[in-house]
Amino acid sequence: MGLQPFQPLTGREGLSDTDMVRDVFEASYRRLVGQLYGVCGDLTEAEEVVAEAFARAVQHQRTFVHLDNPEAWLRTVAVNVSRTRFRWRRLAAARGGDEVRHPALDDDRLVLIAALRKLPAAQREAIALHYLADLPIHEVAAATGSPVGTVKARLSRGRAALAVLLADIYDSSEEARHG
Amino acid sequence: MADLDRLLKADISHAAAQAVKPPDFAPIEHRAAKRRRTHTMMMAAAAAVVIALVAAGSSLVIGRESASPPPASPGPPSPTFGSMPSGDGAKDQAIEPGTYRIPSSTWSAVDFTIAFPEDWTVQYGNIYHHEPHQDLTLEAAVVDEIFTDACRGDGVPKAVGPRVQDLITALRRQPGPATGRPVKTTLGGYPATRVDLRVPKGLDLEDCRGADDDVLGLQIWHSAPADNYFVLFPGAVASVYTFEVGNQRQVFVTQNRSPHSPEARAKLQAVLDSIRIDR
Repeated sequence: MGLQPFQPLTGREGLSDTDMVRDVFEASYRRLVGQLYGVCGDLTEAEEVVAEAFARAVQHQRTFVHLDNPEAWLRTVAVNVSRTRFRWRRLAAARGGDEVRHPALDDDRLVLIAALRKLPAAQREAIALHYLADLPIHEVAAATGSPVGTVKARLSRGRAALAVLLADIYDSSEEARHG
Repeated sequence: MADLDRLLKADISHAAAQAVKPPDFAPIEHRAAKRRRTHTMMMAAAAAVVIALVAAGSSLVIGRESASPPPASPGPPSPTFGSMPSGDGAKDQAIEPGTYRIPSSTWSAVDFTIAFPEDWTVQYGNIYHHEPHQDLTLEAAVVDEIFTDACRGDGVPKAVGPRVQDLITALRRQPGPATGRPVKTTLGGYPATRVDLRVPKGLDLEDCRGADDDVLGLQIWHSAPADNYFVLFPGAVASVYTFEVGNQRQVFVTQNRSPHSPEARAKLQAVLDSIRIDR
């Protein structure tokens, strides 16, 4: 299935509210998972938070079907869900929890995702949504509930921190290679 | 080292999107339907209570002045309680002044009642704040795990035993926050022990693990049942009240970010004094 741009819900007479949510699900699920993958750093986690966002959409479907931009609403909910769950993931990881799942990416990109997971949550969200999900800054601000200026500052700090983290990772691997 | 600009591209999101396919929608729909049913049942129960109260001519909240004359029925009125906003995540919701019955949950080992005057809000359905500055906070907690170090360390909490003394010992062993010896007191009509906590002077919270999540404070414990961290903020005085009800440990924790204000202390104490434990 291709990733078609989101179609507005207007002019869908004859469909129930649930049918309309299902339509958004089919049109937007993969794109949202792609966007949340950078935020979560784990494909399974991204799928779970997006599924949870859709469950909440069904729960509030009468409101949901009247939204101008339901995908933006889902993204905001998914980011909020990921924040709550991130603490659990950190605990689970420290206890030797489940393996992290990734899409087919080259080594450099996997290292980037690993470094991204080490950033503070706010910086990670900004970097992932702006650079990896290609969202404009005002949409990142909406998704994270932050002012535009704050998002810009997080992007700047996050890039700087990411550069340091990546340099450390590559230095360590070089040292390991040369004994 | 690979160039950061080259790596920070949308192809990562595209690869992730291509790696998944939408799952069956039915389980998601069922999950939502189940929540809606639960919500509807709770609303119906609340409506039934309201109708019963209106029929009985009572006000919804005890202790609240009513413009109508008292009912002519003989005998003392049975107590009635307000309905605490269930909370919508982190969003604060105003609490109507009155007395509330809080059932046991992942946040509290026992049922209790508590009275709030004006200017209090509730977050996550269970964390009570004094507004407008959230200078005072109160919550019940089920504490099964505590951090051995509230600042440094791996951020993995360790199990704490079930007795009152287990928690007191664990709190006092945390390097830094406990300010003195435990204080014998009472709460909700029960003998209780209070341990006061403060961020130690000279401790740079930027060096603590909370700073990784943009939180400048000490992570005292993580209440796994409620998925709730208790974070001690700089300049605040937190008081952990621990006591036993039956064979269960009950914990209340307050945090006063205006500890030098007699007025703030009095407001917090008034709410604490209103707590009654239901067995």
